Amino acid sequence: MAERAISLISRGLLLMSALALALMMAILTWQVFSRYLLGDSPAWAEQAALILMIWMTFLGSASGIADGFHIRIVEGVTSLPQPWRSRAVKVANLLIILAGIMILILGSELVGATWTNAVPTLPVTRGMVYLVIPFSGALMAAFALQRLLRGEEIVGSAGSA
Amino acid sequence: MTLILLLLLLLAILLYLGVPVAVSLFLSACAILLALDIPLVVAVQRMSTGVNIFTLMAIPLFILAGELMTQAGIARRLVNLSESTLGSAPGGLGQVTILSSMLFGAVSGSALASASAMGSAIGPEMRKRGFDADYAVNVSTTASITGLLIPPSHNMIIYATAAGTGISIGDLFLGGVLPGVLTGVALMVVAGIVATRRGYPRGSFPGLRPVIRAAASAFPGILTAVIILVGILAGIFTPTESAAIACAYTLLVGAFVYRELDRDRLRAAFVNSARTTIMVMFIIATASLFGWVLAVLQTPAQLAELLAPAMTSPLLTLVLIAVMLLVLGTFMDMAPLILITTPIFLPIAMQVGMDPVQFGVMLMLALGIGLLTPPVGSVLFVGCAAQGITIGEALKSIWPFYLALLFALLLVICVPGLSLWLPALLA
Repeated sequence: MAERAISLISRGLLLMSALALALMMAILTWQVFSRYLLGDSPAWAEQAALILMIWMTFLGSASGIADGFHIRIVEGVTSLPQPWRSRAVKVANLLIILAGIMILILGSELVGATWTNAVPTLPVTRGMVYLVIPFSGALMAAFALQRLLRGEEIVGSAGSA
Repeated sequence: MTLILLLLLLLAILLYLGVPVAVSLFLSACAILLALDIPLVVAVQRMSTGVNIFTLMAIPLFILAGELMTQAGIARRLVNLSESTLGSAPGGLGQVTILSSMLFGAVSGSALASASAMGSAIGPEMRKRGFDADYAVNVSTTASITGLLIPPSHNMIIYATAAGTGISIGDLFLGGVLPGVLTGVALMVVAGIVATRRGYPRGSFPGLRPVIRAAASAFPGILTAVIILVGILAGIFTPTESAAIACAYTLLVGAFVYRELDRDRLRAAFVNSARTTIMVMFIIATASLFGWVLAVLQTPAQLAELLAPAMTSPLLTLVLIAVMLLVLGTFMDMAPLILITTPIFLPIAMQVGMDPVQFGVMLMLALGIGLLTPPVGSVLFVGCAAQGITIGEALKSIWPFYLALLFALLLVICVPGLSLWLPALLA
């Protein structure tokens, strides 16, 4: 049950990120066209696209913990003999949980500190934009906990170049 | 100095345990913040400012443009063009692979995408005609590195961000062109020699008509790079806008000219690029925190002091930096290394007279070679997987290709004009 829910959530987050990417592209293309064809570029466009990218980054990062697509070095752990290998994986998962909780707590602090800072050209504040950070931290911790409980290996991609 | 070493040691342990690179950067940096009595909230502050930069938006969009073209079937068209022109040269399909990878670089700046696209597009045909799998891997993986140099290259945007303001992305893109072509040519020479010694077959020249037909079919894809370069250089749009225009353009070409972008492929293009973007951006966020901690610890100054005896000779200094980059590249991915090493090495390189554009080109090539070297060499791994051989098998015969790449790297270091002539010409 929990497994199904987590896989659904993480899939949903990834699709939302893909949608944010599509929107970014549309907004920035629109910006160029309106500048040259209408002689006027919308002031909000770049800022809105940037917010989409920040949301996409943090939402997707959580989904990357669940799906295991973040870049990591697998060669170290896989060269270890059992039971050290499973122990190392456990420690790694615990460390990801720790990082998730830290991002949740520190991110909330950041949201509080920037809650009233206005974002130029848009009717939102920095704090609202940064809400995605603690949210993402909480999800990361939850996803890593799920992996820890299932005793699962962390999978990951080797590169992004 | 002790704290710098502690930071690096912590990072190494976390990476060894298999903690994702971005999380490792975050945790090790936080530990040093604690030791320095700096409030931890600075960590997320740095992460958020690290991705709150307009220029960075070019990264996801360039990744998307390359992915859209790949899904639209550009690889096959580039291979056809390369085969009709170079298939009859010594090395036959080996040369075809290298030229295709260079052309692919003008569409996508991803070495991984290039190695896997070329591996699957040409690999089976090579085997059929009697080429060995290790040769196919050697050629397709080493040639894919040219894509990092030939514009557009999203890794160069990462570098421009890491270097701070003042580096023109247009200059960087132009600066990569000649070194990218030179690297390709060096690899072609090696590929020809190895193929001749192994007795691999050549194709026959099909005549001018098929060449023109193949060129016409590949042209709309290659035009992507032209649109981006001209758009940026002529000041028609910013690099970020040029990336968005490139996406819109590839979308149109894929849907209406090549007619291969159906709903499934479109979805795959967006989801794949979202995934790559997230991997890169999460690392950019945490690496910007990590880099800030390195700066607080005055790492560049410390390293400069360490390197001081060598710094009387500019060339020696640059070669030393290149060697360090090559070593780091063997066990870490490109994006985090660009972000971590640029603020450390660039000031030193500039002190001995290197131009930031030339440094960027050197960085791309040196870290690109790192993508081909174990223990962590993502491009080599993808190439081996595509041909179904082990990394050990590929490594046995890859050294002449490594030599060609190192030769190109040395030329980039010793001959500033290679990177700077074209940007100066078009300035």
